[in-house]
Amino acid sequence: MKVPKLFQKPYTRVEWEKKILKRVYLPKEREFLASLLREEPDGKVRLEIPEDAPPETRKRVERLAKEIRSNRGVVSLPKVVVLIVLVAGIAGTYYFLRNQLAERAMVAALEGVFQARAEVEGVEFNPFEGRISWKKLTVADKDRPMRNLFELGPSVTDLDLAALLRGRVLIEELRVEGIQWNTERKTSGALPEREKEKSTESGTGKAVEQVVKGAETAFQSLSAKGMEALKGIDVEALVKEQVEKLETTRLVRESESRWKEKEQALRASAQNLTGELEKIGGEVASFRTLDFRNLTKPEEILSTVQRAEALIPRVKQARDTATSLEKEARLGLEELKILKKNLEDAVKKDMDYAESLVSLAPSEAASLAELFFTSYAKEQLGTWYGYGEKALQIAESLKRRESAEEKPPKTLVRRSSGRNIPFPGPKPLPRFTLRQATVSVGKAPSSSPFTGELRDLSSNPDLLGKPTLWKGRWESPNPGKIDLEGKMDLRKESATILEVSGRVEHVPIKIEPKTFGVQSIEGKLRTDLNLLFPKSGGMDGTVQALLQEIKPQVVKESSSTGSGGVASLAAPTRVLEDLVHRVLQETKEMDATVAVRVSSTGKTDLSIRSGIDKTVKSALAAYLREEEKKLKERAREEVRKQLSSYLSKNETLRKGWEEIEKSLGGKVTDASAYQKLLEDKKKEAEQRIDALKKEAADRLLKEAQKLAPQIPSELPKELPKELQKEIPKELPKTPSLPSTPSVPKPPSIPKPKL
Amino acid sequence: MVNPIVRERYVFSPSFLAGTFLYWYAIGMPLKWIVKVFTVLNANRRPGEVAVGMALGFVMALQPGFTFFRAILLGITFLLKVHFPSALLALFLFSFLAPLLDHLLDLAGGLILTSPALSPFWSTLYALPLLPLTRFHNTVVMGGLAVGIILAVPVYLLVRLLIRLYREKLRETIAELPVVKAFLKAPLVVRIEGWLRKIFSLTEGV
Repeated sequence: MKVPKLFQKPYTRVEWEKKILKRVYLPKEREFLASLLREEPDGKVRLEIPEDAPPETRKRVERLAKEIRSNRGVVSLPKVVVLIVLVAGIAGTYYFLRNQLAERAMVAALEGVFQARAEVEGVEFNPFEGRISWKKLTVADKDRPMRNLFELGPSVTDLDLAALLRGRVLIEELRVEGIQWNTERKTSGALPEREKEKSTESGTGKAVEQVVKGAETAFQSLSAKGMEALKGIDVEALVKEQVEKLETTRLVRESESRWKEKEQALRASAQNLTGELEKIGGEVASFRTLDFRNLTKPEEILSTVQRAEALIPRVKQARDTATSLEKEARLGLEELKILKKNLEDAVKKDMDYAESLVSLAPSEAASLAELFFTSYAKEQLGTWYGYGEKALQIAESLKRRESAEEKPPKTLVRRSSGRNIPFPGPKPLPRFTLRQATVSVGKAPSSSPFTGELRDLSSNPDLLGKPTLWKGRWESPNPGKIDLEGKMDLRKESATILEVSGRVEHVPIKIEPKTFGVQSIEGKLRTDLNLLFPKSGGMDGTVQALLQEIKPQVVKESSSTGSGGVASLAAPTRVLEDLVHRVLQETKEMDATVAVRVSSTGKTDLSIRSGIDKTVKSALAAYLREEEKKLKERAREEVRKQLSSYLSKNETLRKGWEEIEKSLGGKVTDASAYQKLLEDKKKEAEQRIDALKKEAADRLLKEAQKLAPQIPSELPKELPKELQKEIPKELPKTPSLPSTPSVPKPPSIPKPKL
Repeated sequence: MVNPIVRERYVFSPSFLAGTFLYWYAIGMPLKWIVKVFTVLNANRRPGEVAVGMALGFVMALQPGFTFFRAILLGITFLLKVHFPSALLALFLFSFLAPLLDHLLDLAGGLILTSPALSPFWSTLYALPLLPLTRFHNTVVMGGLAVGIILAVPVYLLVRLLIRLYREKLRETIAELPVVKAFLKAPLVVRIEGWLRKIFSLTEGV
């Protein structure tokens, strides 16, 4: 029976053991092979299958031969061949399909970064030189799917192969020979998942809307605070309306009632005092003519003294009352003086207030330049803001892709991530870096209408340690000459993420303010801009604009619409229009400084200032000053008229008080004179009594001498010593004159209320 | 409550079907490898093939995730005359053991990578292109590789010894056991064997 080829040839025992039995690993199979082994005469052995052996034996031998063969060697040759073919196939396919693969990779990367459809045509990838070139590359605008964000012409990219082998895309240089912006697309550029999203508003739209609002406010500010005020002023009505609110009115009204009461009380007290003084005067008159020398009887004198003593307290009280009333009147007068001063101040203040009501100073917040430039500025700044936002979104997207790629690998069972030991090696690179990109449109650089440069764009700016710098220069008849540069810094420590500065020149513009009869202003614009995008969001910046070769188109559209009471204010709008027209026609260059601030919430503050504002404002101010002067004079006059009645009332009051004070002063003098007279008369009476006493004593002594001549002619001054002891120290007093009888109290004079 | 239309759509969606297939495939594959390992144990195949496969599977299992070294080892396993299912089975089984050794691997890797004597060598390697992509500078990767290579030898020797023992001492005894004979002849087992054959023949090309 035929045996497999492996067993056909004879083996020595050693060979059999080494080549066959060593590769049979089951004892049972070894025994089976040994049972079929036949020894040759030359000592070699050969496997033989008996003729009568069952077919299973042959099959088993065949299987064993196959297994022995397969158990030989370490490397599986067929597998090696398969692997070589596979690797060669992959490498060949990759080489032949490299352009398509590079195209797909580029499209995927661009779509990931720009979030919009990207197309690349004519890609050629040379892996040995590390160079990729293409004929056309378009990237759609994700916010406007039917337009392209940019379109690149023939371009060449030099890649760093060493970096590529480290898994990093480092573009050393990207040269682009043609670039176009904002071109139209035939198909939608939105990615499938983005098409579902409703994006009706872009960042630009929002910004424009905010800017429009700001401009409208500015316009209202100018019209409301300037000429509108002039049109609507009616001084008489204004003063009548405002007179109730004046300080003078309030003061006079308050004092009127209070001083009336005071004056009445004082007048009543003065009247009472006058009555009392008249009575006292009548009684005092009897003393005035009295001569005590004619009185010889002490009783008469005593009764006169008693009358005088009774009258003196009444006189004193009348004098005190007169003094206090006079003091009161004086104080009142002082207060009235203060009131007068207050009134004078209030009048002054009220005059100023009345003047302020007719203030016509042109508002500082308003600007003619705002009116002219706002519509243009809103579009331009909105566009810049939109571009800035877009550039930042793209850069952020590039950065996010890098961080997304650094996720730990997924494993069947969670494993420890371990530690990466840093070794000094080549400087770590971001996953994507573009060292330099240059764009030039046109054959020779000198005649290129557009040249651009971009440096150090990276997916990890912190690792690169540099901000992205860019420059662009565009010369064409329309829009003119644009020369811009900027910096985009997405590093962690940077406060400003985007800066744009540069100049845009010879841009023909036509603005249509449609206000003050200015239909349009045409000219060429030169703009120096400096915009900053802080990390916290929004935008901040200034734009210096200069409109040259101005060609204004003006129409006189306003008519006499003045409603004020002054004839010269009949047509203020027309005056302003004329003024603006005149200034515009005389101006050759119009400058404007725009300060813009967009907050992170999208709120926009825009202010535009211009030299033309100064010209218009000074002319306007001169006109308004003249009008204002007249109006203020009128207002002052009206207020004076209104207040004069109040002031005259105050004057009358003051005069009344002065009169009272004067009369009260007289009363005090009268009372004092009465008192003096009475006291003098009393003293005179006492002296007369003393004289009468002396006269009586002398007469008595003379009579006694006549009777006893030893009696000294004069009475001794002191008592003899022996009498001094006998006479008690306390001698009974000589009976004095009878005391003054008590006089009834005069009626009290009511005190005025102060 | 899930809308029936949605449920039906989901049940017959390609993703659901693909997921279900992969799920059963993931369960079926280790079973297939176990069957194949038992088959090879009883077949006239070199014990070293299984032992090397197991050792390589062990080294691969110690690698965290699908690293460059695991890919290389897988390629070696494919090219050499190694019992591939044994390698895959070892990879599968030791993958559950490996997380327990992570701390040890981290220590070992740290020691090797921070050794001053080897530092210039690692620095040179690190500076070469592509090599940093292998993540050899990671402590768990390096520890897994080093510990795996060291422990692969005893694993190889042990498996080989066990196979020999089985083949020479146990195989015949077990096969002659009445219980085993009865089990292998049981209709259900025969039927399951048939199903498995069909399933594996279906998934052979996957």
